[in-house]
Amino acid sequence: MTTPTDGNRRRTFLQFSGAALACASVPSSVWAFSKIQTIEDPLKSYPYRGWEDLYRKEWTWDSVGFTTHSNGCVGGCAWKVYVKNGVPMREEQVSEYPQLPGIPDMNPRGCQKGAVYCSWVKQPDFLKYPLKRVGARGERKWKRISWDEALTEIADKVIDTTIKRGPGNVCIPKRPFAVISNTGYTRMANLLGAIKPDVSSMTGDLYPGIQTVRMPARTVSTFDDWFTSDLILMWHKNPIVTRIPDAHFLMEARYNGARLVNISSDYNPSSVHSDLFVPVKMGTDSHLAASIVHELLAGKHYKADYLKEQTDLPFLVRTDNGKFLREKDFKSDGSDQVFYVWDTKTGKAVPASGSMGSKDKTLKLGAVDPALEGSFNADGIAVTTVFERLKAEIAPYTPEATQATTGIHPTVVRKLVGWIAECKALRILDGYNNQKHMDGFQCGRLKILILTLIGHHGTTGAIDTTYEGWKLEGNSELGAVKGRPGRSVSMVLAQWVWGEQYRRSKAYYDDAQLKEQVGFGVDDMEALRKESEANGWMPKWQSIKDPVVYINGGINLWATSNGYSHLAENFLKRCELLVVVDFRLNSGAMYADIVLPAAAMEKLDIRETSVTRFIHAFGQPIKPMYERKTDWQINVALAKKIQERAKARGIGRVEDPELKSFIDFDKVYDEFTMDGKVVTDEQALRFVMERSKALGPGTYEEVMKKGFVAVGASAGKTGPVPKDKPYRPFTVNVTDKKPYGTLTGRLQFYVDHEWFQRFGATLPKPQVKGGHLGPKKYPFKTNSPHTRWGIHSFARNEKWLMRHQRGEPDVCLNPRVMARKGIKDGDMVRVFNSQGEFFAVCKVAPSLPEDQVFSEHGWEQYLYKNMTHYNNVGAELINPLELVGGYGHIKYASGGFNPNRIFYETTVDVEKV
Amino acid sequence: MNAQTDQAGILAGAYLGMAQLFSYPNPETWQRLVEHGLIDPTLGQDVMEADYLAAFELGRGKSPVPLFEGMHRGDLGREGILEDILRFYDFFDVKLSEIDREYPDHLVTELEFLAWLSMREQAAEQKGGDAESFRRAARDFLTRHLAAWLPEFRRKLEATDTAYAQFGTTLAELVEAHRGRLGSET
Amino acid sequence: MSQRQLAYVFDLNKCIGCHTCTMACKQLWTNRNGREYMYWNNVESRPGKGYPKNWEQKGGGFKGGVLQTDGKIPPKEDYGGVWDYNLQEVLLEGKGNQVVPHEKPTWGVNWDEDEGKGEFPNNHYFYMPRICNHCSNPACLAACPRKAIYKRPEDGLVVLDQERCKGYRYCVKACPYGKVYFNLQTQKSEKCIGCYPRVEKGTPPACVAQCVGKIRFVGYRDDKDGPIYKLVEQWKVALPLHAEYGTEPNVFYVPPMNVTPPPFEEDGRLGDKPRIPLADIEALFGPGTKQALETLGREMQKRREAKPSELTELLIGYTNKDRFRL
Repeated sequence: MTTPTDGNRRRTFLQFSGAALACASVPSSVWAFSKIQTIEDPLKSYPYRGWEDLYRKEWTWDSVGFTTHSNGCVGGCAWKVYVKNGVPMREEQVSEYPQLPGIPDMNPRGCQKGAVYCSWVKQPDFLKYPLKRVGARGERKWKRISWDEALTEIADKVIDTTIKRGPGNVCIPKRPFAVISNTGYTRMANLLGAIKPDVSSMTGDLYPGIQTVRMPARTVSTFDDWFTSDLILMWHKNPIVTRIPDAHFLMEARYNGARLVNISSDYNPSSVHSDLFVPVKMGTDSHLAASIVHELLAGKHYKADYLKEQTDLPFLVRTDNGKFLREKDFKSDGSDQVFYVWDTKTGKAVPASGSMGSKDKTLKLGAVDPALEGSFNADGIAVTTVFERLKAEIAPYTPEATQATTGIHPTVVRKLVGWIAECKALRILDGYNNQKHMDGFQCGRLKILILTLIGHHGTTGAIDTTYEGWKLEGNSELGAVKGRPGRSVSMVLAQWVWGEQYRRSKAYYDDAQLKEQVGFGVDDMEALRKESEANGWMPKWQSIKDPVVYINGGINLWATSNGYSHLAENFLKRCELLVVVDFRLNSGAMYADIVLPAAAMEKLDIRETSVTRFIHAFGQPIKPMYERKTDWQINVALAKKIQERAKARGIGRVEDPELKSFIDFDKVYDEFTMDGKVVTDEQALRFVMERSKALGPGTYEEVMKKGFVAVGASAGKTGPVPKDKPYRPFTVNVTDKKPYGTLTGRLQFYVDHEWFQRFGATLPKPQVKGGHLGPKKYPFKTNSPHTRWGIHSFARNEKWLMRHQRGEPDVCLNPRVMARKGIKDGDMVRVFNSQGEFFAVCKVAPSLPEDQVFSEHGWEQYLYKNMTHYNNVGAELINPLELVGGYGHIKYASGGFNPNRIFYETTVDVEKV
Repeated sequence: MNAQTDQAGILAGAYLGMAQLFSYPNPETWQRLVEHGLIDPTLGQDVMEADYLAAFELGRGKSPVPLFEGMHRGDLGREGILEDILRFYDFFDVKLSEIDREYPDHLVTELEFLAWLSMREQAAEQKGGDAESFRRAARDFLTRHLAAWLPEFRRKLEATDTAYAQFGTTLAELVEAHRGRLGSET
Repeated sequence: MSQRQLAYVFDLNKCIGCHTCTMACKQLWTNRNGREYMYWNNVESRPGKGYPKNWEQKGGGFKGGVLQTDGKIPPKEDYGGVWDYNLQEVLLEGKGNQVVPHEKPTWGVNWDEDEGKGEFPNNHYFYMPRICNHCSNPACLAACPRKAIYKRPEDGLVVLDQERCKGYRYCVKACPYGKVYFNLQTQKSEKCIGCYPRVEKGTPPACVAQCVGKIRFVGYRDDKDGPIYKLVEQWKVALPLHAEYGTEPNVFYVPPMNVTPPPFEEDGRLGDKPRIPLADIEALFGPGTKQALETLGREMQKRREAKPSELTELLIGYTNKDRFRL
C-alpha cells in the first residue's frame, strides 16, 4: 500500500470547503444511517425543554440480560446486566438461588471482578477486528484484516501443513471457560487430527497423586457442603481470597460449631479466620501429613471396619518382592488384577471382590473378615498387609522427627490430630499449589489417607480438590467425532520438548542436590520421559511432531508456564502460524501472527462448573459489537473456510495412519455442523442441554430466563446429586458398596508398579527428604499463588481493580528481609536467578516468612519493565511417578494423570534496583 | 420559513456526509464518497484506508486519534459521558444500530444523531410540529458533547500525517455554522 | 428528628476483604462525573492508615457535645490516584515496551492491604468496610451553614442537597470519618446517599445487597424482630466505630475475634496471649468490646458442643430475608 507523497498530501481531497453547507449539493436522502436506528413515526413529538429533562425522566434500562464471568474461575455466578441502548452499563448479582433445608443459601453470588466487568470490557485492549501482524513477532504492529482474509490464510496453512508435514502438526490448545465455546475447539481438533494439549497439567492444576488413590482425583462437594463439616482443613488453599463467592460457607460453618484450620507457609487472609494456623515451611507439607498419619496410627484413631471394606489396606503384599499377592501367583493362567485379603475367620488368603479383574463388582465383604494387621503364609508365599507396611514406613515420621523439617512443634501436630480424631465430619480443602512442589504427589496421597483412616471419605467428609464439571452427555457428544480421536498430549511434556525446558532446567538445577533429596536428577527425568513414551505410557506426539500451526483458544500463552522468554523463543521457532483467539490482546496475543476477536460480554453459552448445583448462562445480554464472534461461530466459520478452500483446491481425504484415521478436508464444515444441525450458538447449546440427562428439554429456556438452572440427579460423576442436600462425591461407594475405578477397586494406597518400587513410593510417604530443591545459592523460595484481584490474567488489568492495588505488579517481602537488603516499601526490585529476572515494586508483607519471594500470579508480561515476567525465573521439574502408565487406572488421562507442572522448587535472589 | 426548513435539511445532509467521511473507508464507502463528489478520486481507496488506520486506530509514528468522545475527555470519566449521551438518544427514541455495533460516543454516532435531529426539525417545520424542541436538543447536545470535544479532536487530528488532517476544519465549520444558526434562534 | 432510623451491622468476622461492596457502589454511583476518586464505600486493612489516609487523625466530630471546627480537608494525594493505562499505545501500536499507569501511584484506596501489625507468624490484620455512618447526630449536618445536609424523616439517611450546596466544604472538615467528599467538577460536596432510591423500593443498598461475604445486615433500629435490634440492643455484640467522636453512628460492627488463631511461643508451641491485643480493638469499638467478644466466644462454644444458640443463627443469616428487613 502506497502513501501519498508530501506534494500530494498538501492537496485538498475534500471536494467542498469553506461552509460545509456546500453539502447541500448532496441531500440527506442519499445517505443512510449506519450507527443509529430511528423510529419511523414522523408525527411523534419530543417536548424537550433542557438537558435536565433527561434526568427528570426516571432512569430505566432497555433490558436486563444475564451472564456469568466464570472465565478461568471455578465459581460460576449469575449476574444481571443492565443494558441501555445495547451498551452494558452495570451489573448486579441475580441473588435468587433457592435455599436447601438448614443450609445457608448462596445469595448473592459474584465477586468484585464480576462487578466491574462492564467497565473492563470498554478498555482499549478488548479486540474489535481480526488483526494481522505487520512487524516482527511480539513487536505489536498490526493491520486490521477481514474475517475472510484471516480465515483463508489459516485454512490454507492448515491444509498445506497437513499435506506437506503430515497430520498432527496442527496444535489446538484451548480453554475458553464455557461449554460450547470450549467444545468447538475439541470438535475442530478431532476433525483435523490436531494435537490437543491437557491444559490442566499445563497450569499445574492436576492432582496425580490423588488420582492413584481414587478416580477421579479432581472432584468436589458442592461448596454449600462445607457448612455440614465440623472440622475444615484449608491446606495449601486460601479460599478467602480464591473462592470469594463461597467463602461465607466457611464463616457460617464456624458459627455453626466447626473449627477452621489453615495450613500454609504464610499468614494469609484465610489464616486470619482460622482457629488454628499451622505455618508449615514451604514444600514440606508431606512431612507434616506423614506426622499426622503417624499419630492417627499410633493412637489407633482409625476406623478398622471402614478400612477393611473401602480400602486396599488389608490387601496382601508379598514380602519377597513387595508385589501384591495376585491370582497369577497361584495359577499360571490367573489374573494379575485379582488380589487377596487374609480372612481371619477361615485363616486363609481369599480373593478380594471389586478389583478390575474380579467378576464380583462389589465391595461387600460377605462372610469374610479381612485382617488389617499381621504376617501370613499363603500357600507357601510369605505375605503381609498393606496396612502393616504402611505402619512400618510411616514409623520414622514422628512429630518430633518432622519438626526440624516442617517447623511445626509436636504439640501443635498433636492438637490438630486430637481435633481430627474427635471430629464427626472432616473436610480437607486441597489447593492447587501443593502439586506444584515435588512432594505434592505423595502429599496428595497422604492427605486423602488422613481422611480415609478416620472413615470420613464418602461418608461425612470429603477432600475437595478442584471441580470437574457436571456430567453432560450432550457435551461429550458434541465434541466427539467417531473414529477421529485427535492427539491428546501432556502440555508439560510438550513444552519440555518444544520449549526446550529440559535444557533450561538442566542449566538451573544442581543435579547432585536433586539426587541427594529425591534420588534422581534432571538428566534422569529426560531419560525417564523417553522411556515412558517408548513404553506407550505417555503420548509421544511432542517428540515426533511440531506445532507448525498453533490455534490458541482463550489461553494466555506462556503465562501459565515457566521461563516466559525462553519458552516463547524456542516455541516460536517451531511454529509457522500462531493464531490467538481471545477477547483481549493479552501478553500471549502480542506474539501472534493473526489475532481473532472473540465475544466476551456477547457470549451465548453455559458454564458447567460443579461447585454449585447450578449451570449458569452466558446469556448474550448484548449482541456482538464490532466484528467479534463467539468461539463457536469462529470454529464454524473456520470449518466453512477450510471446506471451501479444500474444494477449490481439489483436496479431499488425507489418510492419518498413526491414528488409523483420516481427515476429510472437503467435508469439514458438514461434519463440524452435523450437516447443518449445529450451526448457530443456540443450536449447539440446545444440542448439549437437551441431550444431557441432567438437563433436558426446557432447561435452555429456563437458564436464559433466570440466569441459572439446577442440574438433575445424574449430573454427579461419582454419585447422584440429591434434591435437598448438598452434593458430596463418592458416597455411593460406601452406601451401595460400589467399587472405585482403581486397579484394586478400593481407595488404593499401595502401588506396586515397578517405578513406584524403584523410587520408594509404593506407599504414601514423603518423597523429598525435606530440603528445598532449588539451588542453595539463591536464598528465597518463590510463591506465586492465585490473587483476589484477578482470575489468572482475567481482570488483572482492570483499572478499578488496579487502583485497589499498587497500580503495577508488586512483589512481597518480609519486612526484616527488606531491612537487611536496604529495600523500602515502594522501591523497584529485581528478582533473579541464573535463568531470568523480573522487575516489580516491593510491597511490605509482615505475613510472610523470611524465606519467601511472593508475587500473586496473573500479571501480564507487558506490565513489567523490559517485558520481563514473574515466570521468567521459574524452572520446572518432572516427577517420574507422574510418567507412569500401563497399570490399571494409573495411565495417561487428559485432565487426570500426566506430569503436573512442578515449579515451586525454584529459588531466587532479590535486590534493590 | 422555507429558508429555515431548507437549512435544517441541508444540515442533515451535511452531518450525514461528514459521518460518511469519518466511517471506515471500505471500497463501498469510498465509492459513495467519490460518486457524490465529497472527495477527490485521486485520494485512492487504499491510501484512504491506510490513512484511516493511521489516523484513528494504529497511529503511524504518532499516537492515533480516538474517534470516541470519552477518550478525549478522560478527566470527566467515560462512563458518565456514555450515560449522558444515552439519555439523549433514549429521550428521542434513537437506538444504536444492531448491525454496526458501536459505542454511543463514537464521532459517527454523534454526527448521525445530529443529522437525525435536523431531519426531525425539518419534518416538524413542514408538518407544523414542535421544531423548537429539536433545536434546543441539538444546541444542548453540541454544547455538552460534540462541540465540547471537537477542538481537542481537531487539534490532534491536524497533527497527524494523514488525509484526514484536513477534514477537521470542515467538521468544525459545520458545527460552528449549526451553532451560529441555533444561537440566533434562541 | 427522623421518625425512623435505618441502620447497618457489619460482621467483621465474616468480612473477607473482597471489596465487592466497593465495586458495587462504584459502578452504581461514583464511576463518573468527578466522583471517580471517591469511595463512598471502602474496605480497609486494619491496623492501617485507611482511606483517606490517616482519617482517624483528621479531626472533626464533637467533643463534649461541641462541634469541633479544627477538622482538616484531606489533600487529594491522601485519597490516592485515579490512574489510567497506555494499553492502546503499547498493545495495538507497538509503542514503548511497558504498560504503565499515566501517573506514578504513591497512595491508593487499599494501599496497605493485608499489612496490619506484628511479626510473622504472630502478626495480625483484619478487614473493616466503611460507609457513611448516617449518624443520628451528624457533624456534617451541624457544620453546614447552608442547611444543605438533612436527615430524611422516613429513614434517617443523611443526604446532601446538590441544589443548596455551595461547596464551602465545612462538612468535609467536620466529618471525623472522612466520608464527605468534594467534587472538583461540580464544585459541590457529595457523600453516600444510603442508596435511598433503592431503599424507597424496599431494596437494600447496593453495598449491602451485593456483599458476597454476607456480612451486612440492614434494617430499622426500632424493629424489635429485626437483626439490627437483636445484635445491637439485645445481644450487644455490634458496636459503633469511634463512638467518642460524638456523632452517634448508625453503622455497627461485630468486632473481630482476637484470640484466634493462637500465636506461637519462641519454641513453636502455641501461646496463650490473644493474637490481637484487646486494647487495639477497644480503641476502635470502645469499652463494650470485651463483653461483645466474650458473648460471641461463649455462644460459638455452645455450637461446638452441639447446643443451640440464637446468636450464631442470627449471625449466620441464612437468607437475604434474615439479613435484610426494610
